[in-house]
Amino acid sequence: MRALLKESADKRFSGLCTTATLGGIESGAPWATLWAEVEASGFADAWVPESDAGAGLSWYDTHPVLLAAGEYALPVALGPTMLLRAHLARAGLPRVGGPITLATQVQTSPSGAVAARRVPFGRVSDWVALDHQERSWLLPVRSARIIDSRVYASLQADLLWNEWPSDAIDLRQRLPLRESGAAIWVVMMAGAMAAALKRTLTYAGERHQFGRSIGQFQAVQQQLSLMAEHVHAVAMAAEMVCCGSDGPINAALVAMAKARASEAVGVITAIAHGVHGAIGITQEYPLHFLTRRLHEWRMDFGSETYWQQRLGSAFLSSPSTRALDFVLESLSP
Amino acid sequence: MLEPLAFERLPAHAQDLRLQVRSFLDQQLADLPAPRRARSWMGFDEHFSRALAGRGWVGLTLPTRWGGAGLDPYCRFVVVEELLASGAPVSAHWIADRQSGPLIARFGTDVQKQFYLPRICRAQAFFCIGMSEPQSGSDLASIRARATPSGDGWRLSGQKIWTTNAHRSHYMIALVRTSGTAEDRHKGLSQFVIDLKAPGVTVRSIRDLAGDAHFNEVFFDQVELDAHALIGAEGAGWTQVNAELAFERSGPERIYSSMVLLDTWLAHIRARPGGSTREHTVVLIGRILAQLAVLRAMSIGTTARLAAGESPLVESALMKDLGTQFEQDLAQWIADAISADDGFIDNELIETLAYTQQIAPSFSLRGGTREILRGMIARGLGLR
Repeated sequence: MRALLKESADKRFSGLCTTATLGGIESGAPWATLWAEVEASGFADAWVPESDAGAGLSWYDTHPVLLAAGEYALPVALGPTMLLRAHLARAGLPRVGGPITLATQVQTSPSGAVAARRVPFGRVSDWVALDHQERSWLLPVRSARIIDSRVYASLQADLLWNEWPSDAIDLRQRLPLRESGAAIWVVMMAGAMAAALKRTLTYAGERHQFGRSIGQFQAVQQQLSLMAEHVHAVAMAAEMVCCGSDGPINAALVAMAKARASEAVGVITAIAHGVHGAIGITQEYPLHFLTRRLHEWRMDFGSETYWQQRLGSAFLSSPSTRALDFVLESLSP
Repeated sequence: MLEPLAFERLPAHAQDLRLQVRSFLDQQLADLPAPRRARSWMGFDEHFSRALAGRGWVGLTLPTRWGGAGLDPYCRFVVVEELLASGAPVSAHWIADRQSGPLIARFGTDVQKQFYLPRICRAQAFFCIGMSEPQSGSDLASIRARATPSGDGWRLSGQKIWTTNAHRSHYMIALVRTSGTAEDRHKGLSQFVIDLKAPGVTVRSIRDLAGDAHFNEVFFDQVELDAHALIGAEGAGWTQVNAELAFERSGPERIYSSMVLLDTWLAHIRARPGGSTREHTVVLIGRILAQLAVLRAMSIGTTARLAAGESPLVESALMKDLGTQFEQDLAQWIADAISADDGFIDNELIETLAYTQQIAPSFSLRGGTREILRGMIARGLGLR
């Protein structure tokens, strides 16, 4: 199943996510056509049970799809849509169309006004899931004011509602939105990092200086090896979070994975750009689609320090006296 | 391109060993203070090794017909993980169990297997590995020690250095030249088992910066070796050594060298009066656990490749470089954390920390230096 989905996602996303399309959507071009193609793939209903006309697949099965979403810098929130569509179906609520994103930095006032800040994919979503009064809700983006972050090419936005939208959908329970978002993001980050490594290796083989490819210089090789080590570590963290995410979310496992992935962003993006030289910081060359997202995704749903703090607290309030016992108990999916 | 390791779970039969090993260790190690346990696979105690062998946990993966337990690499992973996390003094049988036994089982003759393997499994034959020479460190192909045909056997002359445990082992497996010269590089190298009591062998200890004497200079002056001393094929030493290195580099010992320090520090934090912990310390605990969990999964992933009969050299190099960086970082991070305020620090923690800090540079030297490993990874990435 995984091999099949990988092939299908690679084919679909590589066709969709061209430099022109990504650049266009990042600078404000319509994204409805791209989303229609994503819908046509069926991926958005992958986790919806078969009895509700979904594919009934597991996190484990669809790992390659989320990896590919990161690898090709897919400019819509596919993972959160998969998550919320599955929840709607399981809760017996009607399906909603269009992409769904997640907001965790939310202020609501007693009058019903809502401010969701720095919403990832906030510019390119139809719905946003957020918490309000002990429950989670889906709010329609069409009735929100969308405040562009003004960060160049970012898909984030602030979403503001002056009053509680009448067509908000009550999800009837509190969902672990931050943990689920972090788990999905870890897999996308692993995909984007693998793509950055692949691109950097190709470039190091093609670019010649001093009469040979720069990849033949030991100084460059040492850097690329270090980059590969971190990329492989994050790939493992993503596999672990994926293997532990069918069923109730395992907060310790998510903390481990998001901490590890976020921690690696600095070294991986620095080496990718360092090896590329000046071409890597041009608009024309597509490295920035990956590194820009990696910088944002590192911070979304909490950076490494946030999750390290949660993991450290979990250890201190556990009965484990040895580090290995805690790893065996809580971090071995 | 190099594919990431798959996530693998330890099979249940391997997990079942864990509790048995742990209760054995709880008894054996009750009185061993943390600074001694911090030596772990540098800690030599032949009584401990014999007791472990008595339970069938030395030569775990060797075939039962040669005295082994016939278990798979996953079982060995669990046993080794528990030994190292507890800081058990495993040095006496370590090399034989990890490398020499599997090497002889794979490339040796039946005569060699029958002689050495049962002794290894009873912890009655301890081994050391003769690789480095004064002029051959990372550049192993330049070794000069040479064995020349003599009667039915060989005559060996030359020198080895940095040989861990040569002064208290029974045998050395050495990589030496049997034909050609240093210009022939890896061609013409062969592996021999040498009885360290044989005439012409001289062992001289070298004391390390932490006051311990574990490594040595070893001199061979016209040492006579019989025909059974050659392991595997003459001239195939380089290939055989590389097969061995995948075992040497991928195991839990590349993650757990600072585990006794880590657990001693964690106990110190839990014991603090009032129970309040600096936020920086809590964050650091989380950082360490996140890295540890991923490294452990990578080590199990590499073990799975070994269990499948592969020789994952590049993956092992990648795993070792990342793992030894973690072991070294631990000493630095913990030093900073415990001195960030003026609270009382138990001397056992200070002594364990100081030992680990001092010996930590060796973590990325032994078994292949960081720079050599990164060169191997670069080759795996298609750069050379």
